[in-house]
Amino acid sequence: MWDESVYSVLKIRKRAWYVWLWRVAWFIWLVVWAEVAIGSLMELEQKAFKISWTIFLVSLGLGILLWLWGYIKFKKKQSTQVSIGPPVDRPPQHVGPPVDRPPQDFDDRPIS
Amino acid sequence: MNRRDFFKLGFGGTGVMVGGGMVSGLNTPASSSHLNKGGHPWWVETTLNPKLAIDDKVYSRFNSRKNVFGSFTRYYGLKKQKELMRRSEAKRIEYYKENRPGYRLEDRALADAGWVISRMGGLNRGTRSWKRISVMTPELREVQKYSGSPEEAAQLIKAAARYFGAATVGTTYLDRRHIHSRERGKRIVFEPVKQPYENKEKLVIPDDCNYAISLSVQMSLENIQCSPTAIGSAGSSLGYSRCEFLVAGLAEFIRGLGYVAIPSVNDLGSSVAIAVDAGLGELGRTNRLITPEFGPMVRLAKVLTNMELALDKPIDFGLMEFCKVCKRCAEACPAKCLSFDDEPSLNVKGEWNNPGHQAWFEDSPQCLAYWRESTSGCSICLAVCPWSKKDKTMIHDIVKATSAKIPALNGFFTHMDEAFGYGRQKSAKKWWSLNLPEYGIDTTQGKG
Repeated sequence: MWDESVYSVLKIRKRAWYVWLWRVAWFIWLVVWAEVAIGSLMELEQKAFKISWTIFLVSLGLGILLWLWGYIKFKKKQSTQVSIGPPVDRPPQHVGPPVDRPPQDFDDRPIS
Repeated sequence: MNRRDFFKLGFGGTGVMVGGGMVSGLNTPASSSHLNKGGHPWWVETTLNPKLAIDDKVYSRFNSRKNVFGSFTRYYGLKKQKELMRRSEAKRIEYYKENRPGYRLEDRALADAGWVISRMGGLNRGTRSWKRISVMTPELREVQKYSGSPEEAAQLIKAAARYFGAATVGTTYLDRRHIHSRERGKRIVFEPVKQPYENKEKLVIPDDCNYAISLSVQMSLENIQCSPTAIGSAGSSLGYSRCEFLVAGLAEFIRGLGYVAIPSVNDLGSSVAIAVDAGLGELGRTNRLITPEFGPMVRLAKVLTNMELALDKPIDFGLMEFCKVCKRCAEACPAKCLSFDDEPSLNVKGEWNNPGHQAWFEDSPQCLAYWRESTSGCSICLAVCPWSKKDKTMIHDIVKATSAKIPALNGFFTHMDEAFGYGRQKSAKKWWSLNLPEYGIDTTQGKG
């Protein structure tokens, strides 16, 4: 039997398709600077090493912060759009067959 | 941004890249990428002629007496030279008393010791003898001389040269104008003889010695970056000694195959001109050879032979366009003897330059005077060149390839090179604790 006291409204938010491209680009950016830093160290080029290592660390830090910020924002939005349990002050939404069909025996209330 | 916008941007970017490449291609001479690239990286183009023009009406054989070493007193002035030598000696003693790193006894001993093998040879002397030293020739072995095809012969020569220590090897048909007209007070002539010889008046090269093998030997970047100290000087001296061993070994190998071989380092003719013809590199702002693999961090040598060889072609890797905008060598030169001109020219700076070819000509007497002044020579122009790079990080190859194909970025690359601290003078004191590999070089560099 249908339990009228439980409602689940799920809204699935899909990430923009290019988000993965940004992630790949960021990863490549990090790999390049790590490679330059290690290579410069092997070449005994101290200044080049310091600069490229700093760029790597800053990019890594900024990337992680940006990802965390996005993640938290995403989670927040998701939690506000998903409600589990009976609506507090809203009338129950219609769940069931289309309105022009004859009412079924499990729900014969008029549609509001 | 939707998917369509993204691809628009992507193709736009690609268009800029391809367009840049096409624009750069417009400035290059007839390129013929199907020709043998001589083992150079993919972004090096082979050309039919060297990029810098030669005026055939003017370019001719140079009397080596006119070079700066042969006529320094005449160019600089006797009085000035005496004063220079006095200052140089005073500085040398002062630096020694100060125990200044790079000018201490051990530093100078290293630089001097580096010359040891080089001192064993000279024009048709010692290791650079024009005749057999010890190798068994086919006649002595009572067998026929080597008779492979020119391609096979070139392959043999290159393998042997690499084995004797060459960083890169190229072959070319000998342009006799690159050979000095006179040296050591004797004429250098070509005659229809079987073997080269020397008498009181002349040095005779056989008429059929029409092939030149151009050789480069790596110098230690760690040493040269310590210029102008004795540690920097040791980089050059060891390079010369390794050239000596290389040409002696290669010449003996060729004689062992039954052919004439005339080994040479800085004597006999212009090693730079022959190297350009043989596709080892291009002429840079320093008026020295710059190679795609090692930049100017090489010493050059050559062997003339009558052994028929498959030939290499001159190369173009965008160096001329790079040198036009870079000018780091000219800015760093303490003697201010390098040209700041945007374009290479046919106008020489003095008698020490051989006229008739396009170049950024240098003020050689000022350069040599600074060598004396510094008490231990100078290679700063080589150390600061953005092409003087090792290959431990792929970014150098990416930059070199991009520079070769998109000259518009050369200014940016030059600034970045400076910003990242490349070309700065290194500590001569720390050099002793670097634990460098053999000869201070990476022999795998440039080999892919």
